[in-house]
Amino acid sequence: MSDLATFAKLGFHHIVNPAALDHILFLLALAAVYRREDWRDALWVVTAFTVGHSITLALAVTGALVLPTPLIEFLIPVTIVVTALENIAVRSRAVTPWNGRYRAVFTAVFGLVHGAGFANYLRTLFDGPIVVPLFGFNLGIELGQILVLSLAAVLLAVIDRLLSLRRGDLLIAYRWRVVSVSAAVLLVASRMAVERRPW
Amino acid sequence: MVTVVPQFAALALRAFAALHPMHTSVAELAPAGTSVVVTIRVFADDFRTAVPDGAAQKAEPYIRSRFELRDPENRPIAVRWEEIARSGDVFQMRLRAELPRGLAGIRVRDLLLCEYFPDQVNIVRATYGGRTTSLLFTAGDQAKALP
Repeated sequence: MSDLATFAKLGFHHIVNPAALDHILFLLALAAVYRREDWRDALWVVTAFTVGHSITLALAVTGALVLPTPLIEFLIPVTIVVTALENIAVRSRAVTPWNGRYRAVFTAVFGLVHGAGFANYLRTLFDGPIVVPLFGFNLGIELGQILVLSLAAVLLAVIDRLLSLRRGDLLIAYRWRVVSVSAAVLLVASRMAVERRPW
Repeated sequence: MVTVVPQFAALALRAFAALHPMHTSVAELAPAGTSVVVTIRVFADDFRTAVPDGAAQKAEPYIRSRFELRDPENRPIAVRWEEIARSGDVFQMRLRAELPRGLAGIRVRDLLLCEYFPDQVNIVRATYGGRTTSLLFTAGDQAKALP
C-alpha cells in the first residue's frame, strides 16, 4: 500500500472510530441546526472547519507551532460545549448577525483547535519528514467527516420525521430536534471538559 | 422524545467512560549498510498494558512475540534487540537485522498490542530504493510482503 493510502486510512479511522467521540460530537453539534434546504450554510461551515484544522495540523506537525497537549485536549470539548450552547440559544438564525453566517467564522477558529489535537497525535509517532503522512491523514479525516456528516443528516431527518408526526408543526419539531440533540451533546462534552481540565 | 434524550445521554456517557486515544504504533525499517534498523514507536500508556514497567528484559520477549521479519521464502530472519528508550509520551525500541539482499520481498508481521486493544492499528514503513512504502496491521493479520 502507498504511504499516502496508509495514512488516509489512518485518518479516516481516527474520525469514524468511537474512541474519537469528541470529533464526532463536534460534527453532530455543527450539523444539528441544519435542514435539507440549509445545505449551502452547512457546506460553508464544514469547509470552514476543514480549513481551520488543516492550518493547525500543518503548522503543528511541521513544528512551526508548538501547542501544549493538555490545553488542546481540554479546549476540544469546550468548542463542542460552546457550539451546542449556541444551537440552543439562537431561536431564529434569520435574525442573527449576517443571517447566522458568523457560524462559519467561529467554526474555523474551533477547527484550529481540533487540528492541533490531530497534530499532537501524529507528531508523537513520527521523528522524520511527515509531509506524505500529514497529507494522507488529512485526506482520511475529510473522508471520515463526510461519512459522519452523512450519517448525522440521516439521523436528524429521522428525528425530524418522528417529531413532526408527534408535534404536527414542522417548525416546532425542528426546534425540538435542535434542542434535544444539542442538549445531549452538551451533556457529554461538558463531562469531557471537566475530566480533561488542565488544573 | 423527552424520555429518549436522557437514555441517549446515558449511553453516550458510558461510551465516554471508555474513551481512549486511538491505539497506534509505527515501525520504521531503514537500511543501514547490509543491515536494516527497525525503530518501533508506541504510546507509553498503551505499551504499559503489555509491559507494565517498560523494562528491556520484559519488552524484548514481548516484541519478539509480536513482531517478526521473514525472508521471501518465509524463513524467519534473526533480529537483534538493541535498546528501548522513553521519549516523551512514547517508548522507542530499536532492533537490527542482517539483510544483505535488502528489504524487497521481505515479509513483515507486526501485531503489537492487538491482543489488548481491538482498535489497534500498526503501521510499518520501509524506505528503500528511493521510495517509502507502508503496511498496515490490525488484529488477526498475517505476515505481509514488502514490494
